Amino acid sequence: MTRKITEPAGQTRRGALRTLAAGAGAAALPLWARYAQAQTSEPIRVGFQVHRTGIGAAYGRWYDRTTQAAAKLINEAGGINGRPLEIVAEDDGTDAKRGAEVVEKLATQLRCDVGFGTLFSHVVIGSAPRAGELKLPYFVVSEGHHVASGMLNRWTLQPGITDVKSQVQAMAPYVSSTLGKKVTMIFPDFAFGHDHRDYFTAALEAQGGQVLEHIAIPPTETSFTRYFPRIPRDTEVIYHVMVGPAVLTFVKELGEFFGPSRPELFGFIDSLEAVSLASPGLEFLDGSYFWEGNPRYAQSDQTSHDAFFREQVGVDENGASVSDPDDVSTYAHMFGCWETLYVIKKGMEIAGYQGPDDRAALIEAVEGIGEMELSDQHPQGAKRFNGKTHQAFGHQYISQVQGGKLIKVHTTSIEDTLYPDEVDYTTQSL
Amino acid sequence: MSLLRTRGLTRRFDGLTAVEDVDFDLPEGQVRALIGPNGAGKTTFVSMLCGRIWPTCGTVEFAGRDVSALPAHKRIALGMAYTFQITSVFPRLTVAENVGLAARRVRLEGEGARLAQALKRVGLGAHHKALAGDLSYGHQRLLEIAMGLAQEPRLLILDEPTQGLTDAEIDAFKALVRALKAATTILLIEHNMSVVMEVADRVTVLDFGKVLAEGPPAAIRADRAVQAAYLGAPA
Amino acid sequence: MNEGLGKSAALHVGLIVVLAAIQFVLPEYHQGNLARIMVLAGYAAGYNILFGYTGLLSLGHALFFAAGMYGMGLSIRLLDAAPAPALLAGLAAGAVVSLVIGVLALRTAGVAFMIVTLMFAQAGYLTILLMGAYTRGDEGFVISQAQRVMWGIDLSDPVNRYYAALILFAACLLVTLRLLRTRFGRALIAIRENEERARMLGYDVFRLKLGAVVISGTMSAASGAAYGLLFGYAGAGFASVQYSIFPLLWVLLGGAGTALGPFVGTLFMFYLIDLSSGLTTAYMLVAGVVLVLVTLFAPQGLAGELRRRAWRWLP
Repeated sequence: MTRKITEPAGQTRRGALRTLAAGAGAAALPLWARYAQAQTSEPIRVGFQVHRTGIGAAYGRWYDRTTQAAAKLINEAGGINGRPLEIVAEDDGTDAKRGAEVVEKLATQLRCDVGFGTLFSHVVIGSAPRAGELKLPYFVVSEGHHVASGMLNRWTLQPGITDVKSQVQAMAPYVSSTLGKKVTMIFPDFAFGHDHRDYFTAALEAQGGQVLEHIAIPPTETSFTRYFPRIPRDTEVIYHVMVGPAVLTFVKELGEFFGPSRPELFGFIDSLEAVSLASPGLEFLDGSYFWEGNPRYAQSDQTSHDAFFREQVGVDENGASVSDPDDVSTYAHMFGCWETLYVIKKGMEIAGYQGPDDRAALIEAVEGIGEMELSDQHPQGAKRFNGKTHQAFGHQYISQVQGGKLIKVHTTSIEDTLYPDEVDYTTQSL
Repeated sequence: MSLLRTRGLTRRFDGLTAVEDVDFDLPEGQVRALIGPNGAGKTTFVSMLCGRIWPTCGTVEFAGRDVSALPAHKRIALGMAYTFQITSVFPRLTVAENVGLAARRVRLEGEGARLAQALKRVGLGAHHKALAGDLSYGHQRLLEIAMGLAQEPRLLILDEPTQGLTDAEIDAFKALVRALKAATTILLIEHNMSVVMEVADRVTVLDFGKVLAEGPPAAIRADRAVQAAYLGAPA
Repeated sequence: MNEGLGKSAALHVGLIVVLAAIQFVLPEYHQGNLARIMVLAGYAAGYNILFGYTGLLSLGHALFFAAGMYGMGLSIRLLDAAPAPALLAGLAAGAVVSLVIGVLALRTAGVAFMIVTLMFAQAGYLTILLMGAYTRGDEGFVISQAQRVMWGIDLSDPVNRYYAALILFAACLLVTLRLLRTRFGRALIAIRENEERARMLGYDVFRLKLGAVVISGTMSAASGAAYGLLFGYAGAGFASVQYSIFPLLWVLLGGAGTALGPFVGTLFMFYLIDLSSGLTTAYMLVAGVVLVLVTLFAPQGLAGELRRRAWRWLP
């Protein structure tokens, strides 16, 4: 960790010296050149594509808080290359079309150095082509597999959060060895659910387990009881990833269907991000298991980094806002904004980033960033960035609901999350 | 030979029989008036002729062809024209456009002349640039008639064309019908007995959906049953 | 009428010339925006054919827009088609879908027509989600830069994209204006003004309305296909009910039943949202309030109001 701090400081000093030298020489330069030099003390503008409205609003609120907290820290520590960091936020309405427009606005109108912070996959996929065309480094915090799948372009990176493919496959060893080998999957019948279906089924089979039944729920469904008779009797584990407002109904009806004797339940916390576990109807989840990107409740073995992160963002030990215990955070995902911002900082320092002309150098610098250690900059855990696929890989957590709290019971290795490269973005020209 | 012929034409609405078993023959070239008290079924009857509403049973033949199964636009394509009892023009379009729409079968090049002629015949020549909705009620009635004329129909069905016209306009209308007689067969629903007596060749009287009487105007005027049906209304 | 024709030609050709020229002076951001606006104005123009000129209020046009977008996008994604045949596939998809929907939905009228079109569009939206193996559902898919080079012209280049959008918009505008000079177009107006009268003048109202649905749907599909091709993305969001409401709002704002209205409305609404979203997260509320104000003070929309007050000849 100490190494992490001294290195940027050195960069900063070098940047400051350069600025100083430029200032001294400025008087001798023609006017336009002086202006160009003066720009280097202008803030570095990070365009933040935020879901303030639309279905992503709850995530957007917490992504914003996390981002602002990290930006404040970075500025207090001297900014990036001696320049302050400015977050330029623009709402995309969680809409793909508006998302692309926002990327254009950030790049051309608001003169941002980079784009950052997008979560929902359809917005990322709708926006990334424009970012590529505008040659705007575009740092997404989405956990979608779109980046590593090769669908996007060299200007789009996901260095601060793992993708769904590695998350899902990393769950299979624990599920099959600890919970059971015969699994029934219940998932929403659209892309997010299909990813879980495809990746988990393959990963479980690789572990010698078997998915007995895939139950796809149409996206318009508001009641689920009629699907439950399709769950085979010999099911040992139900894997569920329902999302959206109907989740509470889903859990309640599942509880009523099984009564006291139920199979093991394994789910993704995406279902319950920003939802309190104390919500009525969720008692049924007691004893069930969840993937968590980052444990919502402060654990007994909490690191100093997690404590620091919580304090700076304003989250209490239960994962809710310190000012409002009912305002539950999106804790399993929002760390990604924090960590991504630090990756941007580090990449800019390595590249000696001065302005938009250095954008290509920034991409190359981030591609080479490699290992990231557990630290205040990376409070969720160590990560490994694959410069070819532009995707970070990291530890995953499995927690069990015990007495209304999520208690961590398993941490995967980074190796559990790896899979063969599907693309090499570095072969694309910048 | 009959241009128009119905057999057993009947229409019931929820148990109420509006038109019952009407056999009707209209020879080519005749001006026929259709009269009867309010609610006698006159408009329902002509609506079945031109396909606005479907009969419960019975047939309609036009120009020697059974048109009972044809929708309205096909009957009109065969040469029927219908003007509405309640003025039904295109209020936000100009008078010229209204007539132009009516003259739909004509090529665009020939349209101007035919349009001007139709408007002139009803006396609206000066108003062709006005919006139809801005015309007085009487002028809208005349526009209806002009729209009928512009179609150059074989059979022109006029539903109470003189309602709301001034005396001078009614006189002009009578003259117009007389002038049309050579080229067009006309079926006229009319309450104004002076129009009926002066322009009709024959008169058919409907009462409670049935044909009560049919004959030359003078004979109909003298018919006791007709007088009774009108409850002593002056004929 | 001929005098109006000259003025109308001058105005609309003038607009296209101005749009072609203004590209050279517009800042990059607004150049990109205008390209989008022109493509979407084509969508609005398609909607205007049915709503503004025929008087049929559809709440399902996103289905046609999406038919074009996916007809084009899936041809490229699954069949590796070149852009030009892919665009044609999008147009064909729009024509077929609108013909089928028209035949079914035109059995109804008024509110029932609105609901039936809404239901069909919703069914189309769900179909895109359920066919996730091909469409990638709600996430959608990217049409890469390499797949967007048509006849050697890279459509991802801002200037090329701008002129491609202008060509599409100009085509939609000219089709609209030409249509209004035909008997067919005038018959559509007659149907809008008084359907029963039009029928009793001998017009085959069903077939005319079906023709209007197909022209309107195909124009919307052309815009959807162009949108996907020019901006490199197809997603189910474009088939959602929101995108059925948008062209209605654009046309209402700009002036239903005016050739210029769709462009004016799309331009106005785009910048209304763009500017107000910089001020408040409640920008849709701002848009709503403005819409109410326009409805109150210019019930015929901006171009409609212009026609009422000054330019009677505006088509």
